[in-house]
Amino acid sequence: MESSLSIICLEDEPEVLEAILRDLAPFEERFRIEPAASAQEAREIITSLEEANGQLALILCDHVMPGENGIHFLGSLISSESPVLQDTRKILLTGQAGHEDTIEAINEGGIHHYLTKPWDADTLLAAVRKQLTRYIILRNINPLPYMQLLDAQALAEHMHDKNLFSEG
Amino acid sequence: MIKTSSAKADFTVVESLQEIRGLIEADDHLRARVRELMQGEHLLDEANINQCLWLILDGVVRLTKYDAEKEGVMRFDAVGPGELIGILTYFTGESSFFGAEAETNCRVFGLPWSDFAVLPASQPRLHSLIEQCIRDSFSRRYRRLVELHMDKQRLTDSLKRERSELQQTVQALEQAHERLRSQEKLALLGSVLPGIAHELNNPAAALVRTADYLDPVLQETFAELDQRSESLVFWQAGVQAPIADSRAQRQQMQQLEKRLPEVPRAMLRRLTAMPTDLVEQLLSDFSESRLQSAVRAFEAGRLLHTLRTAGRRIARLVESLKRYARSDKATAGKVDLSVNLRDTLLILASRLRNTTVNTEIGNTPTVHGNEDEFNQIWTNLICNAVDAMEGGGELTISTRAVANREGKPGVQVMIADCGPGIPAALRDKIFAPNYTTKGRGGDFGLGLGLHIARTIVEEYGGTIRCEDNPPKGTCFYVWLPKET
Repeated sequence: MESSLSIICLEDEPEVLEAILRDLAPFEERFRIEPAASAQEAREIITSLEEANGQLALILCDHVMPGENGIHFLGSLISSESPVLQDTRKILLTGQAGHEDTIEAINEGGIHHYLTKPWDADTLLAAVRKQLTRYIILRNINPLPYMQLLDAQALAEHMHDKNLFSEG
Repeated sequence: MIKTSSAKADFTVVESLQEIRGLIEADDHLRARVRELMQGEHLLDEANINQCLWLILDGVVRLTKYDAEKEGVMRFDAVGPGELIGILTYFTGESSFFGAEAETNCRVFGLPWSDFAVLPASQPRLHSLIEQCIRDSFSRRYRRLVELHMDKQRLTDSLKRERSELQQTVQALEQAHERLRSQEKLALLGSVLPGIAHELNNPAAALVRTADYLDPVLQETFAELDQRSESLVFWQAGVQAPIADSRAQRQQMQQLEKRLPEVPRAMLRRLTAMPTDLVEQLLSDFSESRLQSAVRAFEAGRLLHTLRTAGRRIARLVESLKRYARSDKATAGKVDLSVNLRDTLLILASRLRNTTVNTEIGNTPTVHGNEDEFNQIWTNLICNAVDAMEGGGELTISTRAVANREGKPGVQVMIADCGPGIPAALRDKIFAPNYTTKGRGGDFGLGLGLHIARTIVEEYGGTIRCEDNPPKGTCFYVWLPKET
């Protein structure tokens, strides 16, 4: 099945999670979007992806949550050898963008992109599109099915560099 | 500091000086060597060669030295009758070490070297008297040197003392300044909070009211939309249904994907938010168009629901903020501690995000006091507990109606953490001002929190104490008397 690429949305507030899912609806076409309300739940999803030989393309993650916070959760994934998590892109979406949190997110959480709440849909979609494009390139996944949804130009350049275009 | 050596002239000096004056007066040659000095007139210039030994007969001569640092002349001593000037240079031939000038009108007797050499033969009595003066002068100078050394030592010591006192004062001042600044900041925050709360209240109210107005408008619109009233049903479900939790949504999604592989996932996602009976109703007679209009109606309902929920949440927060920072600080009255504690918890919600909070806050009698001040107590105790548990852990807060030891009825609030605990030896100290375990510099690390808490509690006739919270942690008990 081509749609074995997943996106996890981790957010503890149901209303906010719902809003994120609503914004990410265009990506449902090619990616399996998995909502999670806690770090624990997100781990369960990763485990089930392992069982299904899935791949996690992106985690969109809140920072301030009861129990384990977002940066800690993302940081804990860095050392993982799980095939599910290879090259997984990480976006932190947070309302408390303190200076120290930001530094920690980059240094300890291995964050690829940082978004602040409240977000606007265009910014969120652009960030997600960019990270997913990067993921497709890094994993050497056939980009053709993703051309319309993601950054077509970047994908085409990648194909050209890799000589993925067939002659003629 | 500068003493006049002549003040110490004792009787023998006066007596021998009298004799010297007589001897000089009686001899023409010697009399010719007496020089009258007008006030301010120079006798010796510093660094010049001195030709004579000078004996002061009357008046006071000041001794001066050039001070390179001050770029001026400093008066370091003054000498009177019987004192000799220029002894050292007179005998060594070196240039003069200091300057001498008349402080008052003076009479001095100058004895050139050539005369001194023949003095033992020509004036044996005068010679021996002058020699006596020289010896006296040297011994006085030596005593004075010792005294000066001692003075200097004393000065150095007191200077050191003053310097360290000054340092302490500066430190205390810095601390006080920091404390004031923080109090000022808190006071400022307190004074602007009601304004901010008011400003926030208006848009929050507008949000809630808009949602309320939108409700019947949409209701009618959906009712008119289709004859079966299906849109209305789905819209109402959207308004009312609680948001399904993420686990249930995922399961629902998996099932729907299997049942409706041809429907886009984004559409199925909307179905996962619906109550399952409605989903079944839709699937029993499935059509693309029916699905779409149902999802649209449900979605409209959900949006309204979220609008209303968010608006109400802001309104609740604003309400708590207003109570938390009420400006009429001076007034005390009936306080319901359960409401008061809940307000504080709501305000501190973001600090408590990672802490499990167990509350047993029941109905307790009202107590006498001021809500703001009580808020301050709970804020201090809860923030301390959260800090002790480094942001995580488990916090237990309970209220209970209990009488104190004297049998007076009241309310006990317990705030217990599972942090590292407070050693028994420190339990009295923690309530003292300026006791802190937190790094200095932070706004809430001034060590005043518990002191303020105790001051407020005692103001209303209550008590505050802390105990161990086995197996680990600290438990604070605040008791306040029942309002009468």
